[in-house]
Amino acid sequence: MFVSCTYWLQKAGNRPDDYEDAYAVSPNGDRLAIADGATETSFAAEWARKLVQEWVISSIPSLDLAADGLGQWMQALQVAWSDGVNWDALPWYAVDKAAAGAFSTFLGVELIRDELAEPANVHGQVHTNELVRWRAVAVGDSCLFHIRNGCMLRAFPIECYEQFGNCPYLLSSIPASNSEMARYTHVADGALSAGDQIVLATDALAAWLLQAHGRGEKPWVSLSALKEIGEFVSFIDELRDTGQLRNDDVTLVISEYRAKSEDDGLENVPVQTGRST
Amino acid sequence: MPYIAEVSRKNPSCFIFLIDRSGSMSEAIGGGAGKRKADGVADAINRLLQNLCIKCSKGEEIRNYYEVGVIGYGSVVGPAFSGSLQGRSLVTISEIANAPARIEDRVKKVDDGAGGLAEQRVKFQVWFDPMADGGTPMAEALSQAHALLAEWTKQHQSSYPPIVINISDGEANTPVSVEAAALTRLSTTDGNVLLLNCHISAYDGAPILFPDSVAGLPDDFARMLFEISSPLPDNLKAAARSEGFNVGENAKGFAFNAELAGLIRFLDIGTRPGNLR
Repeated sequence: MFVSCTYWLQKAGNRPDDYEDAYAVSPNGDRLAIADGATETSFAAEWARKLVQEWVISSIPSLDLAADGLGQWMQALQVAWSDGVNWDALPWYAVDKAAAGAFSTFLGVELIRDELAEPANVHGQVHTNELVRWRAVAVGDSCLFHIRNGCMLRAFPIECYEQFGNCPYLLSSIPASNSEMARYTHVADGALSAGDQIVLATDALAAWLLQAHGRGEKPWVSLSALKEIGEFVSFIDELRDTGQLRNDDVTLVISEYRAKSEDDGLENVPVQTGRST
Repeated sequence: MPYIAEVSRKNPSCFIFLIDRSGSMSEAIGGGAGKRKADGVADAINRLLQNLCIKCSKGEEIRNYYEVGVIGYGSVVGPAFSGSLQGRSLVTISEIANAPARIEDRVKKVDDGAGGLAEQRVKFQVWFDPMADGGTPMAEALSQAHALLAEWTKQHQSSYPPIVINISDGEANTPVSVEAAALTRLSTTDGNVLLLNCHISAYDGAPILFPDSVAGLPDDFARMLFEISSPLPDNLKAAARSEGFNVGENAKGFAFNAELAGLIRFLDIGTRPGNLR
């Protein structure tokens, strides 16, 4: 099973209401998503939330989105976003901005179980092994990290700190603004072992993680040690105060894969959600 | 590294426009028979303020990322907003957005998608009216800007440095180098006040934008304005290059005979610290 923890903190100097990232985890933990609404656009938080919430309630595979499916998948969300804007009440300066649409990154992850039957034993019993994989689809610079025993096996879609730029391609709430989307949609996957972690982070924290990794450090260990929201806030404040972390909204999802035998006797562990105060 | 401070509600930035309103501004641009220089400049300032309001809008609200002052100099020297902002020295962008002096109906020519131009009715917010009367007391205008910014920089030491944009067409009544130097000695922790000069000449010469020497400048006044212009910080040079301007390493914030479109682009770059978050 997958046990997830989520943490978020708005940019320093902003109110919690100003937070424009979004995250979602399905009840059984096998679909996760994060998104980072672009500050320069209006109603970006609403757009980011629609993307992640739709991902975790749907069953659409990542591969379908990557293969030209993203535009169709977003159609209903785009209509819902537009319907949610009170266009008639917008002041003159807000109309043009809102009409240009909201933009957001998107990183959707599915954790896939396949059962592989082994040959029958001498008693004719057949056992199955569960093969678990992660598969992700990404547009923009929100990142996934596959961690095993504190070491990074894979970073996706950005693999090193130097690849972060100022203007990543983003998903728009306006269909006409997504014409080059297919070119900038990436998909990846990997095999999971018990104890592995899938870590999702929006760009400011992802950049810090990759920088630290590039220096030979294991920042995942620090992340795993966080127990509750207060520790997370202190952790982020320290990074910001020492100039290691760019001042921006921060979102972190850590999902750990636990093997079947560990499930025995356990209740379905609810997702812990940390919120800033 | 200077000129990298983030522009935020907690650390707003500041722009002061110094607008020549001397008698010679009633002449046509480039010495021709077309639009008056005063009208062209007024349109450019109003368009820039419209763009600033839109840039700062977020959802249904507007965020005070900027404070703006407009000082006219001609027969009188002083604050030059019209309407309910009349007499105000420095105004927040939200006050500007909510108090245009009037809204004009104008017609804009837009691409009709079939190789031609179609007319589109647009609303045009006006905060600044053209005027052309008297001499050119530029030194007094620079002194008034100094008085405003001496106080502002004291109160906003962590902010991106203020940008002063001086638009003039003729010879100043008196030398201005002392006042200009005093103005650009003001600073925040992120750098010194920037002085950008835009010379609109009656001399029908080719536009020169962000030069790195006086070569090619037609007269002593253009050369004097070049000398008092601030060197462009690296991020403004990069922004100008990304807009297609050919900017040398020693480029200064000076424009000669910028066409109106070029003037707006120049002002837009000058008012775009590039780090609005």
